[in-house]
Amino acid sequence: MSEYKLKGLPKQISNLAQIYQLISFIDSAISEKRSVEAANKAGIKAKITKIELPEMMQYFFEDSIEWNHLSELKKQLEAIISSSPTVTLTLSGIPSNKFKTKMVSWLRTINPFVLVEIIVDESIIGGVILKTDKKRIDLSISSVLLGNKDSIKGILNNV
Amino acid sequence: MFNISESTNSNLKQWIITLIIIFIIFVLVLVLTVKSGKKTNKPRKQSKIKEMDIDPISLKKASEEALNMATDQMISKYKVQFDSQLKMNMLQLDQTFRTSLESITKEFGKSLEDFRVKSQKIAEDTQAKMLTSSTSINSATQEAVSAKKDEVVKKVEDRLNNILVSYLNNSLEGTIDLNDQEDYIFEKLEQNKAAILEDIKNVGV
Repeated sequence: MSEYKLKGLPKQISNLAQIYQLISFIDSAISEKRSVEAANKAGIKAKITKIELPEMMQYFFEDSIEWNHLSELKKQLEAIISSSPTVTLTLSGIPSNKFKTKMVSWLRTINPFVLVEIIVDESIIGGVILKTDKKRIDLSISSVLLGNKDSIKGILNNV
Repeated sequence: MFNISESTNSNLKQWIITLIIIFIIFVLVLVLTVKSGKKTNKPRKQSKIKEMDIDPISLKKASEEALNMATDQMISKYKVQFDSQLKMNMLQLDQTFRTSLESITKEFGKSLEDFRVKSQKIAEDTQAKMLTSSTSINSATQEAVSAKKDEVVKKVEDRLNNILVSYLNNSLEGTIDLNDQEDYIFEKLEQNKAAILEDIKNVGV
């Protein structure tokens, strides 16, 4: 029985909703296994059906999967929910999966367990607004335009 | 004026006394004349009177003349005294008048000077206050104008910004593909990596 330890979240798993989905899947799989075991103890011949891994789970387990790994994964996912930082990215449009994955990968180079939420706001015109628990970094096009207030003021003062 | 009245009363008294003396002299002369007339009843003296052939009327006339002369002399004498006194009083009055005039002039001049100094001080104070008020009003006005100008500029600036952003939003909404922004976004993220790193590094599992 080998130990299962996450080195980081897969780049395809970016936000809290996906983590909860994973936990939910693990719970139902474990529950099914316990039901089969209980039936076997009671003399009822039952077989655990082959677990169909959802696509998300395949990012965690490449080849085989052990039951104890599921339990360990669940614990680690719960730990991620409670302690991992969340970065909210505001973009001017809905990002493609490729773009989204690239963004997440870039952030995971800083922290492999960071969670990423994406919000779409067309008013920023372009660029990105990055928000963490402590700060907000506005790299949007609208902020660049609004940042030129001084030049407008200078023109108005000379009128 | 008081001196004149006093002097006049004094002269009047002298006059009255003089007249009383003249009257007494006249009565004495009259009595003596009557007595001498009685003595003429004596035979020896009567003869003398007869010898002298003195007319009683003439005697009375002479007495009157003497009285008149004495009266004239007295009048002349007291007129001179009166004139002298009058002159002296006039001189005193003139002196008093001059002194009073000088005193009044001096006092008036002093009051006038005091008034002038006070007026000048008031004028200077008022001028200084006006200058201060004017300066503070100018300063307040400039501040108010400057504040108003800043306010207007800010409003115009905000509106221009809003107009600009709204215009760009309407013009560019959805036209800038996110994929086209990829390089820009990652370039900006790299530039701000240090700031992002502070918040999310070493936090988590």
